Amino acid sequence: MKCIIAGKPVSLLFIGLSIVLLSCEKVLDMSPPENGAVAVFDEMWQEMDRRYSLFGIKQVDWDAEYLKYRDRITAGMPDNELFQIMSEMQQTLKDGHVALISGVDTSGYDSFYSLYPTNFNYRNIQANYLGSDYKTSGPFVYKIVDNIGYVHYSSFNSTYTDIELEKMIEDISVTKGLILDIRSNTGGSSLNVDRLAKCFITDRKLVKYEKRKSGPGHLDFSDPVPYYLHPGKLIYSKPVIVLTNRTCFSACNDFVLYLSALPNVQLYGDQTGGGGSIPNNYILANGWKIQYSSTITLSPEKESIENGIQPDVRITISGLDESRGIDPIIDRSFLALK
Amino acid sequence: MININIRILISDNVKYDYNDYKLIQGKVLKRNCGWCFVVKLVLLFLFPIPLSVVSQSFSKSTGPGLNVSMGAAFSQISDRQFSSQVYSGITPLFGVGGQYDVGSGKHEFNITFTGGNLSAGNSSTRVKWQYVTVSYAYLMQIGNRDGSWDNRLGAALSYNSSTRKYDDFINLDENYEKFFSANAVLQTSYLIPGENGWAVTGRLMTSLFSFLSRPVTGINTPAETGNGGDVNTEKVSSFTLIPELVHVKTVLSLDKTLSVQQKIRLSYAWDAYKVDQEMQVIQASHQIFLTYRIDF
Repeated sequence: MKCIIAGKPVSLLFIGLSIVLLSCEKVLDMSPPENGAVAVFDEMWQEMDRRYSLFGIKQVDWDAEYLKYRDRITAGMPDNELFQIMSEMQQTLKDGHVALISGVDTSGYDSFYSLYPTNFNYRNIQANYLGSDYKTSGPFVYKIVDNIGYVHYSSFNSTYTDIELEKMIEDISVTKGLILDIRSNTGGSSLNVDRLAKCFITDRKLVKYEKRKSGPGHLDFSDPVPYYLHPGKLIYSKPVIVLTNRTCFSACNDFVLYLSALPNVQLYGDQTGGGGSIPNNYILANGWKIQYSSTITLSPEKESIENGIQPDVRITISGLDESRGIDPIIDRSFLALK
Repeated sequence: MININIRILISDNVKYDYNDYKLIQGKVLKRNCGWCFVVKLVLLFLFPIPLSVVSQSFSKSTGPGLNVSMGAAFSQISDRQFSSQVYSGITPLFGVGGQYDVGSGKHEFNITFTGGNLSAGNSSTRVKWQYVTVSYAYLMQIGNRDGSWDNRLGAALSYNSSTRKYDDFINLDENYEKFFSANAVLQTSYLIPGENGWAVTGRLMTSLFSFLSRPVTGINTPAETGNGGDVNTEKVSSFTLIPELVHVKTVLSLDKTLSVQQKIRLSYAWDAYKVDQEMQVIQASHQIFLTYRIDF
C-alpha cells in the first residue's frame, strides 16, 4: 500500500517524461517516405539533380528531361511502366555508371561498348593460348611462355588476398616482360585497383584527382583532390603491356589511368570504355536502387577520363581472326616484349 | 555469475535512512567477507572492457563504483546520403561505467555500444550499424533534499560515433557521424518509501554545442591506409550548434538496492540526434537494459 501511495509522483514523472519522449519522436519525423509512382519518380529526379556529377560533361538539360518524362507518370501506374519511364530518362545521360535496379529488373546504359567490336574472346584464349598448363592464384589466371608472362584478371569485383597477389607477382617476377589482360573487366572495387596498381609503381605517385560535389548546383564542385599511390610490397618493374577494350570500364578505367603514366607500361588494343567517376548508390522510397556518377575523376594532367583512355597501339580483332581462334592483340604484345 | 552473487548477498536486514540517503548495514550482510571479495574481483574481470557500457550512476551512491549493462535497442535511422528509407532493427546493447561521489557532486563515466544489421521494409540492402557513446558527466545536487526527492543539474562531455555500412554497395558504401558535444544534464530521483530499496530516476541530457565530423560523401575506399599514406576520405569537421545538430538522451530507471555494495537497475533510454545539414541524418534509439553495479 505504501508503495502504491508513494508511487503517485513517480507515476507522474513517468507519464510526463513519456509524453515528452513520444513528442520528440514525432518531431524527428521518422515515418516511411511516400512511395507512390509520382513520389518515386520525383525522388529519383531530385536526387540526381542535386548529386549527379557529370551534367557539365554530358550536356543534358535535366530540367527539360523532367518535363518530358514527368507527363507520362500517373498515380498508381504499374511498376513495370514506371521502371521503363525512369530508365528511359536515365539513359538520356549516356553514362555507364547510371543504372536503375528493382527487385526484378535492372537497366543501364551500355552503348559505350555494345556499339563497338568486343576485341576479346576468352574462349579462344583458353583454347589456344592458355591451354591446360596455366596457373591460378585467386582471380588471377596466368602463364609464362618464352619468358613472357600473361596475366588475365576478369573483374575488379573479384577480391584477392595479399597472399594470392604476392604469389602471382612472385611467379611472374622471373619473366622479362608481362602482358596484363584486363579486357572486358567492367570495374569493381577501387581497393582492388589500388592494390594491384601498387605492384607496378616504384615511387609514390600522383595517379589522379577527384572532384566531388560541394553543393546542389550542377557545377558545384570541390577543388580537385590529389590521389597518390605508394609502391607495394612486391614490385614488377619490367616492361608491361596492358590489354584494353571498350568494356574496360570504371575501376578498370582508373587502373589503366594509373598505369598509363608509367614509363615501362604500354596500352594495346582498343580504347577503354570510360566511366571516369565514382558511382553513388541510393535507395528510393519504393526500395529500388539507383546508381549514378557522383564525382569527376581527372588524370594527373586534370583531364576527364569519362570518355575513355586511348591505347598506345590500337589493335582490333577481326571476325576472321576470331573464327580462326587468333587474338592479334596478344600476338602483337608477345612479339613486342620478345 | 551475477545471479549467484545477488542471491548470496541479498539481505532483508538492509535499512535506509531517508534523511541522508545512506544505507545502514544490517547484521546479516557480510560486507567484508573474503569470498565476497573474490566474487567481486571475478565480476570485475569477467565483464571485460570490450563490453561497452551504459548507465547513469545510481542515485544513492556514496563511493566509487563500477557498473556493467546489457540490454537491447530498437533503432531507426534515416540517412539521406544513401536513402530516403528509414532503416530499423533490434540490436544488442552493452555498457560499462563508473561513478564517484564527492560531497554533493557526482562524477560519472560511461561507455555504451550497440550495433548490428538494420533493414528497411522494401529494400534488399542491409545496413551494418555500430553506435558507440562515451560520456563523462558531473552532476551537482540542486536545492535542499526534500523527503525522497533528489534533484541534480550538471554538465556532460560526450563522444558519439555512428557508422553505417551498406552491404551491397561498392566503393561509396559507408557513412558516419562522429561528434564531440558539451551537454546539459538534468536528473531527478525519487526514493520510494519503504524498506524495499526501490528508487526511480529520470534524466534528460541535451547537447548545447558540438564538434561534428562526417564524410563529404560516402566513404571511398581508402588508399594507403595500411602504410600511413594518403587517404581519400574527405571529411568535413564543423562546429555545430542547435538546431544544426541536436542530440537528446532521456533515461528512466528503476533501481533496486540489493546490499550496501550492490544494486541493479532497469532502464529505458531514448537516444536521438539529428544532423540538419546537406545529407540530413536522423537517428533514434529506444534502449532497454539491465545494469549491475558494485561499489568499493
